[in-house]
Amino acid sequence: MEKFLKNLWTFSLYPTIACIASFYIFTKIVNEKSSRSIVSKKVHTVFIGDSHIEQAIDDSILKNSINLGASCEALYFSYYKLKNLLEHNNSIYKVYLGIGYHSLSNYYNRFIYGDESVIIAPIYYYLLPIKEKSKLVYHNRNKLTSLTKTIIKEGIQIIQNPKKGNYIGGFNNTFNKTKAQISFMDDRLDYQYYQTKQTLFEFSKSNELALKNIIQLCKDKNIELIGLLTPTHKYYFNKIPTSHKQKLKNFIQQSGIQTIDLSQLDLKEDNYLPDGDHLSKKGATTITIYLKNLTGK
Amino acid sequence: MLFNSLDFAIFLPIVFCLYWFVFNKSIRNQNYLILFVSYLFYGWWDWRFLSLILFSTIVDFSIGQKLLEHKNTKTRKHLLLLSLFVNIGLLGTFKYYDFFLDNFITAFSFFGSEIQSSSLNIILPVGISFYTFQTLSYTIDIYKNKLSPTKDFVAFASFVSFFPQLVAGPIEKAKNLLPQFKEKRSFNYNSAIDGLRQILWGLFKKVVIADSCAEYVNFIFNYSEYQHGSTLIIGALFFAFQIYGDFSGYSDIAIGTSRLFGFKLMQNFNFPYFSRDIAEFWRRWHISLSTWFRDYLYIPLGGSRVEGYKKIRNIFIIFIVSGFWHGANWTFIVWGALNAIYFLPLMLTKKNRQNLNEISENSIFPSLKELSSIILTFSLTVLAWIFFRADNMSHAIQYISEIFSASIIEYPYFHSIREAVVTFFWIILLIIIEWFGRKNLHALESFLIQSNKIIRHGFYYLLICVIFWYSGKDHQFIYFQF
Repeated sequence: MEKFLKNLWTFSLYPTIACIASFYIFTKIVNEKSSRSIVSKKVHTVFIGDSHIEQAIDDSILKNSINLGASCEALYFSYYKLKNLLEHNNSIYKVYLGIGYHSLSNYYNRFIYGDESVIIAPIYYYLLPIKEKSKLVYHNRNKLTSLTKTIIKEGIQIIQNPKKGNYIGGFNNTFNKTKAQISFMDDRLDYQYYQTKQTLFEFSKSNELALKNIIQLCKDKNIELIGLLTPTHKYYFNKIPTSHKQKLKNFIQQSGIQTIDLSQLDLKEDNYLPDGDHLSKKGATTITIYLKNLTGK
Repeated sequence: MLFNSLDFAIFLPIVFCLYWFVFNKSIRNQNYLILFVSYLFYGWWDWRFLSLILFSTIVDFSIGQKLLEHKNTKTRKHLLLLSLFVNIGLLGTFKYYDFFLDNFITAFSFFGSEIQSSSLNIILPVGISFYTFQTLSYTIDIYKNKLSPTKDFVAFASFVSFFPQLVAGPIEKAKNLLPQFKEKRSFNYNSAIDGLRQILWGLFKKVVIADSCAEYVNFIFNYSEYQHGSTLIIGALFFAFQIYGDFSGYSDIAIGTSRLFGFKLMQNFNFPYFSRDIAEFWRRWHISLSTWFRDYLYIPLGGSRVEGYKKIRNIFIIFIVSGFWHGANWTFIVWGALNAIYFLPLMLTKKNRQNLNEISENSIFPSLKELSSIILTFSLTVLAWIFFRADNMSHAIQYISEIFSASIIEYPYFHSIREAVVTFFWIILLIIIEWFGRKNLHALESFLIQSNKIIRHGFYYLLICVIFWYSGKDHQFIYFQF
């Protein structure tokens, strides 16, 4: 038995040490690469947020601007992304942050701590402080191998090209000839606002805190922060739960964050995706030009 | 908990340490531990079904005692029938109730009558087909005076619920495994080390081979009506390796784990895809089940010693029942019948025992004749596997008809050519390693044993890395559904 345990220990020890050491060196390299400037020095304005921003702002139309929106990006992740960005980019002085009536709800917790965390959270792994990394690992302890693989794959991608990391995001909209459809909008509303058929998503303290942290971060860095609500179809907008609308309104009032509310902008049908919550490519062009004219840039 | 899960990776070392360092004072203590952790292991799936396994254990233990007490033939027969009734009743209720009900309703509607009824949609308890057969072997062997009943309930309950083989076999006969619970178990270094090798190989077969193939199989079978014949052939081939990797992988892990605790389980797979004929295939595939049916069904029916139609009848009975054991669906019955059809010519021409020796015994590679026999046998089993995997009969028929259509010459579809090539690579590697290990109990038993330690360990580390890289897909072991 002693010989067995000794041999097993020896067999396990060396590769474990090697793996830990390799992973440590690997993350060091990735952290170093991801802390480099990912945007050009000519960029002064950044758009950040989830898929609503990702699909709505065509940065090729705007001057000195870049869209860093990414699908499923909760405010929690946006905070760390923005923090990393502002630490290494002195040229940025304006940030448009995508916010919506769903932003402060538990809806996003599935991507931070829930079932879909193992797919989304590892993308932001290298931006997180140690404490948050540990939380991420803890919440995904039953999917440790998938989590580790995704973290490694993301790291390799960052090493190969720091500007192509998945966490960076970017304008991405190839949807043409679409229009809002009621059944899709109903499904989207259920998915985004309802935990079960009868129960709404509750509000999330962590997302609220993340938004406060973003506001504070921009204040500290002297960055102009503007909350941007992207357009939603009239049918969709009318069905958003009042509690969620009120919650966001209250927050905006209390925090004093500047906002541009385009959620009730009346666009033609073909500007929307079938879910009525995102814009088509045509809608993205429309809104970007509208914004350009609105801000004079 | 799955064998390829973090839960089991934590569970096993803890149990191992407790077994050899804390509870090693007596056999009884170790049996208590095994019983406790086995129930914990089973309860991890669904604690509600613990009562079923306990019930089956208590019934058969009691019947065993009564069989010892009663010498009267009629009474003994009634006791045996009671054991059969309880165990097969459990199986019938949980596994076959909805099947019989649906077919009963279909039969009545065929005659123009409508019956209002509702299926129970009963959840199938994991492992029920395995442990009920295991306890039945106990009572049947006592009835036949081949085994003395045990008075030690803990040993018996541990035998029934022994966690490595509880949910998917091997189905151990009481006369093989039960005595091991009454003897002192000594730790054997070589057996334990080889047990770890067997676990490693089992994990490779399950995680890398089976789960990789499963991605393609699920897609191809779920959308078979849109696929070319060539793609469907690939799907069937992948399924053949999926089910082999899955099931033999599980068996290897079960046997390897048992060896860590000083137990010896029977070999359940003996490199079946190297079989030269169907008879040999059935001597090598799921050996524990086929020997169970041989000993408790086929031989009592007369086996091959009867003449005429009874011989044919017995073959069909055993294969169809074996098929039906796998699941409550006509596809399993047809799968069994098809294997009976394959087997029958060999039986009737008395060629079913012509390949008892090891394949390519005295050479490294098979001869051309052996190779063509292997390929033919493999092709026949793959054809039968289509029924095994299909959702229903019409799906199976549609699948096979499309294979034998003009679209067989079309280029097969892969949603990722790169991944398909990698999967093929792993399958080839499996075949090579298993070929060179075919004379052993498992493929890694002697693989690189003569080589330098660095090379051997390097290969094991490589396997571990590959297993790690492929894990996380969470495909259930196929045989858990039985």
